[in-house]
Amino acid sequence: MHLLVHGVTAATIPDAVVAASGGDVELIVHEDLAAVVRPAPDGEVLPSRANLLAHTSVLEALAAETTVLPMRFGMVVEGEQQLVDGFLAPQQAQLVAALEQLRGHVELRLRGRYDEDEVLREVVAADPALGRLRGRRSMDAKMALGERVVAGIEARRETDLDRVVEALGPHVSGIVAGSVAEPLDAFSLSLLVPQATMDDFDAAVDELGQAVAPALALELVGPVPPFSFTAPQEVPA
Amino acid sequence: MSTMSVARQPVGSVARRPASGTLAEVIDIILDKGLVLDAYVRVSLVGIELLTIEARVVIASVDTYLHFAEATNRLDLAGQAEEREAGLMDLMGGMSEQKTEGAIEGASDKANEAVGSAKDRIKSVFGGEDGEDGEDGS
Repeated sequence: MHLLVHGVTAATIPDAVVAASGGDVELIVHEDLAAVVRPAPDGEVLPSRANLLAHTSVLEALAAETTVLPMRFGMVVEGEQQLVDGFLAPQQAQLVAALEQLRGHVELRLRGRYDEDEVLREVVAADPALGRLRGRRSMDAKMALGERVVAGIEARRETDLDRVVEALGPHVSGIVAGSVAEPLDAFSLSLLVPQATMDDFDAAVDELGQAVAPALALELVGPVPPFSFTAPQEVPA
Repeated sequence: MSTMSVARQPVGSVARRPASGTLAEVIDIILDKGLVLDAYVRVSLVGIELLTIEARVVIASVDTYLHFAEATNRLDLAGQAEEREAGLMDLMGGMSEQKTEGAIEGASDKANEAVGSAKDRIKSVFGGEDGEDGEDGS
């Protein structure tokens, strides 16, 4: 029987937590580690809506109760033996260390989005040459203007990212920058925040939100399972 | 379009919301992230790799440039002198409209370049995420 692996946690996890995380979810225990798995008939796990939501909801339920290392979606092994011999046993030390690092933390996503008019005003004000390109109707002129505006927003992104890292850096244990999907997206950050000092972090985010308004609006999403902070500590072979 | 009431938060306040919700949100949360099993342990699945392919919009495109050109032209700025100057330039710009065809060709070349560089950037972002650039100071 193939197994879809959702994540790795400590073997001490209560059965009730596992049972509540989702139907037919089970544990494969190896010493002090437990892999949270679910049978995958024929190894068929398509990235369907149901499968994606199931993967996230299991991990969300576990993360709410304990520390868990989320697997990337679609990690399927042939069976229990292969999971233990090929993963849990050889990587035991790294997995235990990674769980230890994540203990007492939650992952939050911070997104920044520009208000179009406000950011364009600032970009135009910062680049005198843009004023001369405005209002011209030829395709050449419009392309030149648009390209220069996009470059201006790009420069602004870098400045804002520095500013965010400076403001929130002292309150987080890790920051990973994701790519942005739309022209008015400023940034998309994964933050690893210690639960013990969550209030300080929250206050710092609010202060930052005030400081960057009105050109930039912030959105805080989560907590989410620590998908962005699973990088195992590589041990040179 | 009928009148919509849009929930507006006070300027400067940070919107907070839980992660669960739309499929798009879920994909954004898990895309390309999480612990990966070694290839020799995992069963290879057809279809999964699709998830990591270009789920992103390319930022630098002709459409984007034109959109921002229009939006910038619509901006109501304080500098009236600039407006007049721009109006004059516009007259001159009109004379080169017959060159538009060539410009469009040039623009699509530019777009291809832009797509290439955006891909490089996406790659470099993800390269950076892996944290594999060993900086062991031994």
